[in-house]
Amino acid sequence: MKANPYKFIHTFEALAGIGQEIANRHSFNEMIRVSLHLLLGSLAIMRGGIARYLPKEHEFQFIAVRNLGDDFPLSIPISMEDERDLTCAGLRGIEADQAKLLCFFQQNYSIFEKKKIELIVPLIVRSELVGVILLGEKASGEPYDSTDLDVICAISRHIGVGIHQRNIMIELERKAEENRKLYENLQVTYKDTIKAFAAAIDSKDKYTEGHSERVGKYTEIIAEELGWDEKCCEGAAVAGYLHDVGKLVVDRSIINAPYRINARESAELSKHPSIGYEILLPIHHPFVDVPLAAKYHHERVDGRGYPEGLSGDQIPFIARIVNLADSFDAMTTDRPYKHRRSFEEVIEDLRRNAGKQFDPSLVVAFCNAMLNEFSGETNKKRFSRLLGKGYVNTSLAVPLLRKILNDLDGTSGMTFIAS
Amino acid sequence: MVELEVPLSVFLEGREVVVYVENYLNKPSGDRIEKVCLQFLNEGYRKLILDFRETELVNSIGVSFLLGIIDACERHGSELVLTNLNENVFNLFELLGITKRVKVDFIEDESSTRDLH
Repeated sequence: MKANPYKFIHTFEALAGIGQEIANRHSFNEMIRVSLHLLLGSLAIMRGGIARYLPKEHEFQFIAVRNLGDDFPLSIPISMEDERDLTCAGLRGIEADQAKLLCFFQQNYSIFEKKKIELIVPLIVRSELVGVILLGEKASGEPYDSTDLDVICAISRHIGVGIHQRNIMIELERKAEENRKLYENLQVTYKDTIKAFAAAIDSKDKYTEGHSERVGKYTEIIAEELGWDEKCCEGAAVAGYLHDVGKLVVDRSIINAPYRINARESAELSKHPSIGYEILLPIHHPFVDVPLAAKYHHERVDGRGYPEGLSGDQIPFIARIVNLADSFDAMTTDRPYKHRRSFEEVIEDLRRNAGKQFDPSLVVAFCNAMLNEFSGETNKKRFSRLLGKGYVNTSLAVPLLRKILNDLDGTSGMTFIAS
Repeated sequence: MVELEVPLSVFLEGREVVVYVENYLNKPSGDRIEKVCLQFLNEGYRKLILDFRETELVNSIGVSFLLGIIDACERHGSELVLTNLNENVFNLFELLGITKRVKVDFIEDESSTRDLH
């Protein structure tokens, strides 16, 4: 290059600009448009275009063009041979005379000639063709000299890297989307598996069909009432669904006994929480408390439960929730040896056992959820669906629930005015 | 009366228009000037004069926009004149060969018009 400070500074400014442009994280298309301006402006090249290579489609797709006219094709198919030849040529400008050997150049010769395309620059990054730059004549009308080619090569290298980075981003986004879908499918499979397990547990007991599913739903309702987030509520539901998984290994004749079971049978049945824990523990659950719910859902806050006789806060919180949900379902469904109790009796039982069998704060949360539904404060009809039509007389249930919530005021921290 | 699509100083006289280039010819100002020039060319103006009296700097992107205006004038068969260039800008355009392609008035002196064609 003839040492000319003006030209040197101008070229340097373009090179600095292209580096900055590629590093920017704004729109990819805008980055390519600005890069084309910088390239054309650095050497006063009248026209040109930058295309990225789409390997699956085997075509160049133009992202930015300047002064090539409306009739210039914005996508140009290329052959495998072209891809190979351009990759072999490397990041060097191919003059039009040499480029005539390329199939895509021959096929588009008339338009390239009309637009005075003089130079083709393959964009190669890590031995891969990522795009191409087509350049027209210089404003001066002079041919490109070696210095011009060096400048074009330097700028083109940056543009190639910019396109390559974009390709990596697209691939990462595609993989992330693929992973997201896989994860969603996995979650669906997990939920279906849980439901299948619950159905398997319940199928052992012909008198308590749907028990595990209902306990899962009551547990979820209580968790929601406590203000847990969506994920935790989902985990609570899983704990409810699987709380009786240990019954899978208890003798069917004990579970289905049409009479009050004896002490030996009771001892056998009492093993199911610990067995459930052993079954669930090796499974890598997204919700770590699931095995604890199975193990401790027969513990009582007064310490008179089993298998360990834990009391109060010693009992894992999720197990206390499942215990309430489990007991509520047991009282509100028919058993082989007794008919279900009236709703009013069940609610009274919850009040009476708050602080004995049940955590009072959970009784409050559960009663609140019922009151909200039966008083019409929420449109959800979950209890109505789970308990069946005609079981709850709302004109009796609403004042009763309000009264119980008032009675439990000391533990709930909430006051309800009985109507 | 021509209503400009972008705010820019212009002076109209018959079918000629003078467009005043801003202090720094770069991406935003180049974009504005190209839009205005294309607007005048599409409305049938046959002579465009780009007045560089306020212009101290031109970067690569600014040059690219100028080439776009030159190309558009050639396609429309219109005349383009660059005028009142300071020495630095003139030297740059000369080194890039732009002065071989378009009529240029010399440095900020209206009497010393130099037709380089």
